[in-house]
Amino acid sequence: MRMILSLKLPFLALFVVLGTTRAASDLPENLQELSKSGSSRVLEIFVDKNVRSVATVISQDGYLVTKGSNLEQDGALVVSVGDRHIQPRVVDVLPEVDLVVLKVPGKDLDHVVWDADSKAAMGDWLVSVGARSREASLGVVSAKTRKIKAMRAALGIQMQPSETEVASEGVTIVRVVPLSPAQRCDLREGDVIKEMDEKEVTNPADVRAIVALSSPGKALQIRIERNGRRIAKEALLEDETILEFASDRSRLLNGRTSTRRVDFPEVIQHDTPLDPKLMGGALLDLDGNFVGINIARVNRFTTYALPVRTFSKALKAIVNQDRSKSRTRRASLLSPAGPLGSAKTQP
Amino acid sequence: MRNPQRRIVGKDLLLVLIYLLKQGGEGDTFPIDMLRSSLTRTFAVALGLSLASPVLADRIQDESLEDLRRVQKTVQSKLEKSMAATVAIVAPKGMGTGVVVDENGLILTAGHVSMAPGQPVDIIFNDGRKAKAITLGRHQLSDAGMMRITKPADEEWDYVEIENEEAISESGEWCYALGHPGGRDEARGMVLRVGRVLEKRRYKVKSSCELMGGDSGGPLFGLNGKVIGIHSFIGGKFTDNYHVSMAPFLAHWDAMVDGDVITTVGRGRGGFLGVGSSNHPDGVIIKQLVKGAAAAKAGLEVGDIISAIDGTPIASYLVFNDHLKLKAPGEKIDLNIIRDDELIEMTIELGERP
Repeated sequence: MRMILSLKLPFLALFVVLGTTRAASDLPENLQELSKSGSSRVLEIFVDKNVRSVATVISQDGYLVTKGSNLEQDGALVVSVGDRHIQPRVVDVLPEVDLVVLKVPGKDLDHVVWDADSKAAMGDWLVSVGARSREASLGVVSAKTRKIKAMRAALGIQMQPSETEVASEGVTIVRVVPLSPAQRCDLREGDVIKEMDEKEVTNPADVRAIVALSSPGKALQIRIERNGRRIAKEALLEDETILEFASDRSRLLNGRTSTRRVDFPEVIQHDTPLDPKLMGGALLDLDGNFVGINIARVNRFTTYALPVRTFSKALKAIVNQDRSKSRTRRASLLSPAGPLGSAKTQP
Repeated sequence: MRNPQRRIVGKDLLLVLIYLLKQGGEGDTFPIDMLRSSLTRTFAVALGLSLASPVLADRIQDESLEDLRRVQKTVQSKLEKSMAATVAIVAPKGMGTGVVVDENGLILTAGHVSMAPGQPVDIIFNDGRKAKAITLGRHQLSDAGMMRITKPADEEWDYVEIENEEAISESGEWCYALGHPGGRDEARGMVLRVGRVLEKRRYKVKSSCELMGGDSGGPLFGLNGKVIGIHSFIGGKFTDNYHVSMAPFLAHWDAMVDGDVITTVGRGRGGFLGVGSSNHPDGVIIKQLVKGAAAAKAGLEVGDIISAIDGTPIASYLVFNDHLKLKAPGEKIDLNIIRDDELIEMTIELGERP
């Protein structure tokens, strides 16, 4: 209730202050106003000073969610809240929907409202809120809301078949698929892979096994030898559609896409062209209702969003559990009956 | 790319783009410079140099919510009928889309989907019903194609009307696209995109509805639910989506139904006017006249501004050139000329290119 009001309140407040004659039922009239009303609920996330994702604020005390695989790359996490840069605490992950829950300190943050029954019909307009006062993007629900099947992870290299030579030499790359995770992390023809995720690899089967055990979106640590030097690389795995025939050409026309774009219990498909860095952001309908979270940029004509019902229960449970844990922590630190106090009374 | 014909399938629109480039010698209909620049952008993406911000100019921030609600309501009210008439086409060389435009099962599609006349193809409706069709004629220059459902015979098919009044699809009008991008996917179903008409040329329409291989031949609708374009090719930007206009279909309807392959304009060498011109705020300004050619004979002068051709205002030199090159030698054009601040109307018969 309070949360539904929160979307409209800034406008009401503004109109009252200005003393206009607008009725209390007035809603935003254009897209910009609608977007502004939501923009404080979407925050930018930096990894090592580069924007990597956006987070949707889900509670007034500072719980946020964003796309988990957008934060796969190693680096210092910082959330931009208003004009402050805050290092968030990673609370938990929801791997089945590729969400990560973060916490920043907060008391009265603007946040979205959950309505697990929200529906999106084909042809409904959807507004992807821009973080801060950046521009919103507009699109429509463009296909059936449905489950997206899992797919195997792919790196995008061809390897020299191992023959009878000494096995411990590593695995030589003979081809790098254009626009694949391998090419994006600068693996090259002739590189010799020595280690993957700190495991030694000696033949192509080792490499295949490690990739097969990973899922799309995962960051894979790779150590290679190039011209006699050891180099560390980090590949962000994608799904095996990158290996499809003719995909090189069509991928050029897709623009940037998310690394994990498969394996979701249910998605709303919409046609809003968004940068993959804008995944994790809130999706509103024209009435300002929160209908989901953008979760994957898939191709030229497709963006996926998670409907609220796919994460609301799990998220509530995580937040409640974390709140009670924090209370216990605080209580135990402050009260004389806490660990420090009680220690004294122990025999 | 030695034999482009063989490699063009509905599944890969980029190939069509390259094909058009290859075909584009001097005097081609398609705005080669535009295609080239798209391709440059494409390569820029390939090299990881830059990618245009995906924020679309047409989806502007001051879009009124009332207008958006109206568009949503209108599109949704037409959607069921539009989808019932839109079909997946399974041709030997790839998958595409088409749209049924009469109760006897006449289908409009892209020429690079229908290819040669008289070929059998499979049709799948949105509800999963299957049918057999045979390819009909094709208008090569514009990429217009036709098919007709043959089996089951004597069925009354769901169909949509086509727009035959050009005024409806002015630039900036809302439109929506249907099709099977990436090929038919049963779980996903048909894909809708809503956008705006960004540009209109005689034989093609540009829109912001993002297309992909597999969409080829699918319908672009105006908000009245009538077909205003057939998906044809794309460029590197998300806003580079091109559709065949209704003009080539309307102009060559009977011949295409009869299975003719129309190459009227030959290799795109149209009739010859004989002017050298450049852009001007009011149209194009004549810089040079070819001695003895149509323009000089009709009395055009250097410094004349051509503001309209056949009633269409000239936005740029490209539009003017495009229009001209679609005309065969011997055809007449009506020009509006501004000379010494006076408007002169002229009809000129085009000559042969020297």
